[in-house]
Amino acid sequence: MSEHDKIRELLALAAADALTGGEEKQVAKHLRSCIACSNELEAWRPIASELRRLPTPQPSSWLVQATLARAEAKLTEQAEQDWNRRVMIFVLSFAWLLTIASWPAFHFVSGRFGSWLGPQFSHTWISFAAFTALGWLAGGVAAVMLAIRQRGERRLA
Amino acid sequence: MSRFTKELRVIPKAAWIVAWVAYLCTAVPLFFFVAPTDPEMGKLPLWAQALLIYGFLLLLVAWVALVGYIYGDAKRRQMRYVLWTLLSIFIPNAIGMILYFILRDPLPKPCPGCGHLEKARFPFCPHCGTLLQPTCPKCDKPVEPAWANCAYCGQQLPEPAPRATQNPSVAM
Repeated sequence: MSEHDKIRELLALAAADALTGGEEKQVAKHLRSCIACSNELEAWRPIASELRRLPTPQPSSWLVQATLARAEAKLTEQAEQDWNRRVMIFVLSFAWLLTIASWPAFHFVSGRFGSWLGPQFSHTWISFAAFTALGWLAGGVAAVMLAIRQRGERRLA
Repeated sequence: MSRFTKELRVIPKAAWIVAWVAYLCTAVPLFFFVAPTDPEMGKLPLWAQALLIYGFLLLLVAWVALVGYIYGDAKRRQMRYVLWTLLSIFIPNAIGMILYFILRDPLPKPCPGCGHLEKARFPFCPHCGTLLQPTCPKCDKPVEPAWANCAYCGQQLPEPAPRATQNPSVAM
């Protein structure tokens, strides 16, 4: 698209005083050298002034209230989503920290009390791996059960 | 008041008390009686032992506080708070907590008719019957105000929102 075509698209907005500062300068610069665009802008001006004289339709108070309520609900929803995202990041980091930190704790406890439970407990890393696997398995089973339950509840709703 | 401070208030005082009592009851005996006799920890300087034990056990405080938060949060969201608290306690590695934050319901909203807090997904108030959100005129399922068609049955929805036009103040 040439410079001329770009400016032509802005002429109606220029007549309605709806251009930004930069666009206004750009149009003024072009108009100094383009008679066709100057004429077109002059043709737009009476239309814009007539349009300004038309009464602006006022939305009903209910529509304004409804729109405000909807905007507020949307903003609240967005803030809630942002907060939930941050909480999820925190909880996931915490879960990883807890998993990593449980290793020295497990090592410490099994070193002191493992011998009471039997010789097989001295394989601390095997016990730890079993403990972690059990944790993830329990989490997986709980997730599946809860998802099934929630789907059932949604179907009923 | 920031959102974080507000959310901290959801944690019951009892949970904070349990967290700090558990912290002191674990950290103090570990530091004074167990660490000096432990072959590995005994080799560390005193400040390292203190840092390790008192710092490490702060995770316990965070864990109890999170369990308390889940209890309070599930209660205010009208979810099964006992079940979720137990799940977050007994599923190891905080997986129960992750599940809770994925599956939790949205916060309940006050009914404009009677003021009772109702679940966000309820189309009608169970106490006074006030319409809480617009519903499809054909299948009666809740619809979003911006929808042009019902997502469940495909019915074209009237503008600006079905049913809500009957009593605009209620639809707020």
